[in-house]
Amino acid sequence: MSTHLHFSANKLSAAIKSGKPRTLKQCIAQADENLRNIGQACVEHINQHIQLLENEMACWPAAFDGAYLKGIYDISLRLIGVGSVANLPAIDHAARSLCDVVDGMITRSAGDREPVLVHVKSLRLLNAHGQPPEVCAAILAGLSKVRDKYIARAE
Amino acid sequence: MTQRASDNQFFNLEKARILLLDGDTMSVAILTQILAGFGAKNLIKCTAVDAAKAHALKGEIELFLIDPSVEGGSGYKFVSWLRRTCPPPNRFSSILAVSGHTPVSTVKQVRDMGYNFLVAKPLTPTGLYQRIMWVARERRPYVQNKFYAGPDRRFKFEGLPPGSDGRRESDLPADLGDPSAPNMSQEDIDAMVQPLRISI
Repeated sequence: MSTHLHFSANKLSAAIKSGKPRTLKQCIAQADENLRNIGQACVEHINQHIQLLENEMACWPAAFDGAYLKGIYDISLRLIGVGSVANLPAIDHAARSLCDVVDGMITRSAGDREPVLVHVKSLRLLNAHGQPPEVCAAILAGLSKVRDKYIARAE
Repeated sequence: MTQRASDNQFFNLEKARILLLDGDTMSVAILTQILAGFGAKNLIKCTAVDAAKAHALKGEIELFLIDPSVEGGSGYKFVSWLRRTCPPPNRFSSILAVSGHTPVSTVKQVRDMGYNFLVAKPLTPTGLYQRIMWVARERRPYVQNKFYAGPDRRFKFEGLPPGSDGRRESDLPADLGDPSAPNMSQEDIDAMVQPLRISI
């Protein structure tokens, strides 16, 4: 099969130009307000998913189980991005760190309960509104060390 | 890829048809709220690949926002299907990958499957605006061959590799020829690149 080049007009650009003029400031302000309106739903989503992680941790398998770890990965993946909307940005960092750790374990085909458990416990601590920023920073710094250890092994 | 968001710029997605494909309903809700703030009214929300395919075959869509990890990684296959099997014009639509976890393997897979760009979560309105404008301004041709279908990945053209004559028809030799006309004066250059208003 030879290589074909297709020069197509950018339809998205045309669609943006055909809309009524609205300043970017208005757009961003409206989007921010819309996000504030779902803040409470995001808090509930975080609570549910931390609970799901805790339930999963209660049945950690005796031997390496890739499907089980993938389940934990999927739950923590669904937390990333929700924390910022719920005004809990540290949740996003911790969930991403957990994804890195679990991804590293799946790559190495070796499960290790402790680093996952410390992430789940940290998520529970970070989920409290009004947590002082220095406490959040200290927790995240600790998780970062754990993450570095496991992500480095995976590479 | 620097695209500064200025308050004086205009932006409205009310005429754009946008398809969201994400298995997580909260992620879809966050995207929906941001896009609604941008004026989007024609949003198609899908949590399954089959539903997204049906919509892609039904009508024209200007922007796809897809989580590659949907249905255990089917978001990659969906984009491959869009780029190879889906009839035009949606075959050449702009596609943004939206992902929470972006290790190098994900970024490479997203690039090789024919996505235009990858947006990492957490999403912010300003960040998403910048990425949408980036793909809206794109003028890359679409390439299709046995190994790849999607936007031309060679968009950083920094000259020919050393010691090579190039393979493109438009490639020019690195050696410059003799001048064919006298040098332009500074006034001529200014007039060319900086038009001035004059009163007659």
